[in-house]
Amino acid sequence: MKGMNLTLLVLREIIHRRLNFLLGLLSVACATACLMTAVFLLNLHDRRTEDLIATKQADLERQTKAMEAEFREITTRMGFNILILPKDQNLGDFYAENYADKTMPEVYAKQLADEPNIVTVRHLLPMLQAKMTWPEQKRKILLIGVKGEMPWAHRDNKKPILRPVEPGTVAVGYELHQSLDLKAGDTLTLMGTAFEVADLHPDQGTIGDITLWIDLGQAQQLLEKPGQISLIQALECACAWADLPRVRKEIQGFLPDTQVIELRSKALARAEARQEATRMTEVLLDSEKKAQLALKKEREKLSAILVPLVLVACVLLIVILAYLNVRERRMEIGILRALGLHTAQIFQVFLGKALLLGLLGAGIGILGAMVLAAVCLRGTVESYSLPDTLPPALIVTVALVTPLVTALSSWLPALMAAQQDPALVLREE
Amino acid sequence: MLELAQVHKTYCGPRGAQIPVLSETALTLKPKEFVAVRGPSGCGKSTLLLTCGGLLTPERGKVLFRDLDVYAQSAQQRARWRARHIGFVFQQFHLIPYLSVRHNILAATLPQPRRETQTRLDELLTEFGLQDRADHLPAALSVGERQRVGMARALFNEPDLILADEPTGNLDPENSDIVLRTLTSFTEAGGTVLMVTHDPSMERFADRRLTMEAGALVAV
Repeated sequence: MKGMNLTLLVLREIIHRRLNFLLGLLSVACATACLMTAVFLLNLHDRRTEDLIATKQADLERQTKAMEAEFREITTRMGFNILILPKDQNLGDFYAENYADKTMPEVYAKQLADEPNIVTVRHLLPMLQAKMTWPEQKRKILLIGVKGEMPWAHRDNKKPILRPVEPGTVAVGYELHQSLDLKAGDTLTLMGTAFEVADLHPDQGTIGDITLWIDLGQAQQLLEKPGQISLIQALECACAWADLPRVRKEIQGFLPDTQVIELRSKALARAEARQEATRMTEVLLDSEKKAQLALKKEREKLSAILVPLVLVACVLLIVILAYLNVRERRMEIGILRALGLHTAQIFQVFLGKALLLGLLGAGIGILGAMVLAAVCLRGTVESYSLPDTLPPALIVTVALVTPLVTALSSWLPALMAAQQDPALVLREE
Repeated sequence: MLELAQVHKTYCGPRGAQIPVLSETALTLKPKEFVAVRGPSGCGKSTLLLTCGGLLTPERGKVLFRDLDVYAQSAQQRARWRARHIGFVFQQFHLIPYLSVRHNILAATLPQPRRETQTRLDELLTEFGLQDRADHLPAALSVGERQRVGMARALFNEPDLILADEPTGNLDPENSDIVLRTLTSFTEAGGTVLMVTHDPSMERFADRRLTMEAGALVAV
């Protein structure tokens, strides 16, 4: 038979004062389980968020494709807008300046409107443009003369998309009415003629902001271009077979001294529609990610408060229990010292108990958290595995760190025990 | 074997007053000697024993064990010396409550393991009539049995010196006799006993009787 050893002494003492040990064990197991469960819940949340985002992304991609198809269909049905310009208009200058400086007879617009075979164009808008210096205000403006839509002679007129400007009135671009502090009803003078301000246009961020719209007839008179127009806008050109070469061919068949260009690319409109759909998808996904992140932060915040609180409570309880244990064993420490145990051995006795407490507590806590996690996972729709939510590395770390924490918590009481003067208690006899 | 040379020890009393307990105390213990020290409670008998056992450092003087200055050693060396050469017996027995009789006796091997523990344990259990009680906890023992366990533990490592503090203070005459005869046998086998007591009747087994007066030892 071997003699006694410190391990046996520690084990016998634990069995003897089992309530003290069980309380400590419960505390360590609770703290460990709490920590593990917090990590498990956060990991579970992360997994779910990833899956949710992936599902939403897939859904949104499907929706985006559907939206793109819808936009494509809509833009196809929407038709396109064209400009009818004088034949001698340099298109390079027009594209560069967005302004037509050549003119053509106003009667062209009427000829188109009166032509029974034109079937593709819905709205015809003749205009006279002039980039000029406003003599009275000494500032650059774009003067546009309009007369509203040309009425169709041989078919029903659509609801107009551009209102005419009444003779004697003017519609003013944003920059002009802001800088001149013009209000509806004010009177302004242009090239010696007085106009009543009838309309104030909102901010467009285009050349439209320095534009004055007046009646076409008055514009022709002021610009000394009677019966002339710069261009005709033919809007919403649409029919099942319509495309630019056909429309161009059809119009030029009637107006050979003109040239036809597309006002705005159909492809551009489609691309913009696709971009818009993609942007909406991204916004939705981003919003979902932000919501999930905010939720995760909330949970992390709660864990950041709860877990340290439990750990501190656990450490305090261990310190108190260890201190009470040392107090209770004062005489025993005296006897052991009288038997010849030195301070380091007494220290080992108390620290060994703390290490054992940490090991067992960690084991029970980890096991408890794993059982809890397994039960939780069984109740979820998703098929996550336990290692997904409770990584083995975490389990090993907790199993190693917990005994260290309990040993550190018991360090001071163990030191008190080791440094206790045996003579003091033995003399108390 | 053990010599106390002009050992002086004081305790702090109320309001910082220094109370001398051992006052230039001198004592020489020889091998095979049974020395009894008598004195009233609080006269410093326990202090004398703890000082002899290397547990209470005196302010002045030396404690020599076979010319080894006990208090010149480090605490760890002193602990090893105590485990090897000293056995303590206490009036309150001071058994470890959660260890069985067997393990309480074997607790003497905690500082340094030794061979043939089972043989020595059986010897002592038989000698003290504790064979049937070997697995009992101290709480289940009579006071006489507890003191016998205490004696067995003190003798387990075959020390050179036993320091006994009122070893019979709580015992009936029969158990007192057993304890004193054991101590006598120990001295006959070559050991030395220093026993403190306040009971004059217990001195009959001693080879030398001393009394403690004002911190000094005086031969009776």
